[in-house]
Amino acid sequence: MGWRVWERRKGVAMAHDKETAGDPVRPLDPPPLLRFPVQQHQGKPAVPVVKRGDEVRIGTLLARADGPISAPVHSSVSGKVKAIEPVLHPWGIWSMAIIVENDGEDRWEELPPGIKDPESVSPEVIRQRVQEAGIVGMGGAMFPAAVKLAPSTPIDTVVINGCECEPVLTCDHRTMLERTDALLYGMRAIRHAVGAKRVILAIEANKGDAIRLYRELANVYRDFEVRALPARYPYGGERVLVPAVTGRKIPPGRYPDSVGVVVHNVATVAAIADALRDGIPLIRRPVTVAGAAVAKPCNLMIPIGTPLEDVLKAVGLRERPREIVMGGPMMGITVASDDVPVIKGTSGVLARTEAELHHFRESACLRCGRCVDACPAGLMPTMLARLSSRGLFDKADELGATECMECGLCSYVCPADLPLTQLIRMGKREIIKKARAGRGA
Amino acid sequence: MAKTTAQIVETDPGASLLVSPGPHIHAPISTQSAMLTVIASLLPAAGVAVYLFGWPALGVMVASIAGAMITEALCLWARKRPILLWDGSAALTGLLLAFTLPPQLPLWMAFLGGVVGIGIGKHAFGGLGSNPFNPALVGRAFLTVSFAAPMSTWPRPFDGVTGATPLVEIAATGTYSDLWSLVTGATGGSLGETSAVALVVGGIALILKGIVDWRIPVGIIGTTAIFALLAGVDPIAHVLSGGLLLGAFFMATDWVTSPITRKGKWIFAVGIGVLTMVIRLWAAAPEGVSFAILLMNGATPLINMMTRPKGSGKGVNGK
Ligand code: SF4
Ligand code: SF4
Repeated sequence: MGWRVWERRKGVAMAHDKETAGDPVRPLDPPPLLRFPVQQHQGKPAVPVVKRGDEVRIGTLLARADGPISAPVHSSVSGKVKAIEPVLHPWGIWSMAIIVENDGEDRWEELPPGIKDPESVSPEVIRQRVQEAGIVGMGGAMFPAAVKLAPSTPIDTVVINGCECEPVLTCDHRTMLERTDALLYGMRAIRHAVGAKRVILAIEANKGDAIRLYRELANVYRDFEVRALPARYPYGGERVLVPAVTGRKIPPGRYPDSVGVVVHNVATVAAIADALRDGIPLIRRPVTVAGAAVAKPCNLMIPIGTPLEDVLKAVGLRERPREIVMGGPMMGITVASDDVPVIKGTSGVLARTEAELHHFRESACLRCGRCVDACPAGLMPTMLARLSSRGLFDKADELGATECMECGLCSYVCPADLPLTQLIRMGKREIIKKARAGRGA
Repeated sequence: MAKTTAQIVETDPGASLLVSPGPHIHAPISTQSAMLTVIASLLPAAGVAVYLFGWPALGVMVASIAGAMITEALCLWARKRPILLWDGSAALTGLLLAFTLPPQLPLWMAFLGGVVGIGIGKHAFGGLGSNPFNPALVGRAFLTVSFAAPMSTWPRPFDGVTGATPLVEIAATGTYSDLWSLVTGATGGSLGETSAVALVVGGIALILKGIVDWRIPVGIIGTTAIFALLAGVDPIAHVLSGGLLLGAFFMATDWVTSPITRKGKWIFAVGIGVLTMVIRLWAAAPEGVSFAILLMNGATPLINMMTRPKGSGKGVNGK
């Protein structure tokens, strides 16, 4: 595969700001009141199976999956269902949620028996257990993991995404260092479930300790490989990651399975191991809590459903945040209120101060070409943004606007401070809306 | 662009969180920081100019910058735009223009060059980002046409006695007898173009800072050298003399007037190299860099169009 040495490195090297990389993940005590939105995945919302006043325990099913592209939701505490009502969701929507009052007694639901060796059961059993555990892509995409374990096309390679290319976030890095057993188990389980020949763990070069650790383990177990990738954003994005690791390009509008690859994030792999080996559904996840408003940035294992307010209270605030980002600074989303709960896809909580904010503005494009150089999708962001802002969506579509992966790099590098990604994202939505309407008509 | 502006959402009384679409961070670069970095990278060459040609050279620089900045302020005011003089773009135009002028040019001419460069070369086309031609070179072209004699009077360094520039000898003989003087700059010529060392140092700094794309200077210098070899003249003399290095590192690399795609930058650079040598070898004028750059500036929209990356070229609603 020597030819790939000559391939141009994609993306941009940026300040990593990963100051919590040495900070072990500590468990956060569950708060008195938790909110479990029924929409914590892509697909149909889950359907509540509890009612007001019901007793629940840790691991009790709160809402069941509705159809194949959906995921159930479980309680992360023991206590009582206080209400089922709409709450503000990280996505800026109102979503139905089950509100649970924590009784602090930490009683567990009876869990399904653990599976000692994932290869001793059939792929079907693995898929079913992962589905029942409510596991979704924890890198942020939140696609139901079980669907990716039941590929409709033959899969020969599993890529485990340990890149964590977003600045600031370190929870995937910590997961790799601290949950070695779970990762080894989970990788085996996934390979068995999809029937792949190879498992490749991809890690960005700035995580040397993780690369060394897994290279050693790979030498011992010989059932997976480790690939170090350039520490450049966005190598963790599937469309950059898969070609870099396998040499196969994902055709526009398709997913990695179209080239025989399935990608799982390391946190997801660990959750899959928990579900199979110990029967524990997805009820907590590692989260990097950072931002200048936070007294001491850290990594926490946070019970799903914990409102951000309680998270920030627990870590201590230095000042009132001006903005709270869920996820990383490049692709994360801002939330309208600290009532919003941590959900399955929350990899980071960044409480940011005014001084940290960057204000984009309307100014003149200097035609410097930096956005064109940076775009990992090979597009011409300056032109797409101009077309979108003028409402010329058909033209933007012709120039590939829908291939934009919304990585944010064009806005990031623009010296004129133009909100390029923001405009292109808007244009892309319009184009997709139109395409849907066209197909419906 | 209304949909992209951040809005404030009230939460609990007294607290408010900003909601804005990502990305939420930005690279440490702005128009202003880029312009000021370019100006800083020109300072070594400016220092050499004052050392070689004395105070008149400094006067020319100040006059040209003043003309450019005053005109910028007036144009922005007349066009009812915020007067952002400190973005540095006008000062940079003035300084670059001065670099292309004879060191003893009357100060009012230098001032006028700055006025024309900014007024006609930039604002007549719609201001920063919209001008097709490098404003500094527009100013110079205007002065060359209007004041032919003072614009071709080249004093020698230190003593100020006027004489021919190396380009005249190179045009006649194909090479130059004192290559070392071209490296240090102790030779006749425009104010800021004579010292190869100072220009290359500044240019490399800009490349390392990521402000200048190396493809353009490398393309221009490489093409010029190869062309000279093929034409049987001395490539080293041609690369080191006249405004070639100044043009390759600082003029042709102007963001606004050069192509935005990598492929486009190569085409642009090769075009400048070829045109420069054609003018030098076969046209009446001994120097051709600035006109070669202006011509390729004119071709830039076309180059951008031709080299436009379009993803896979199939939209979802597309044909
Ligand atoms: S156009 Fe899209 S894919 Fe390209 S840099 Fe901008 S956000 Fe990223
Ligand atoms: S980075 Fe900004 S200024 Fe440069 S070409 Fe792109 S949109 Fe224009």
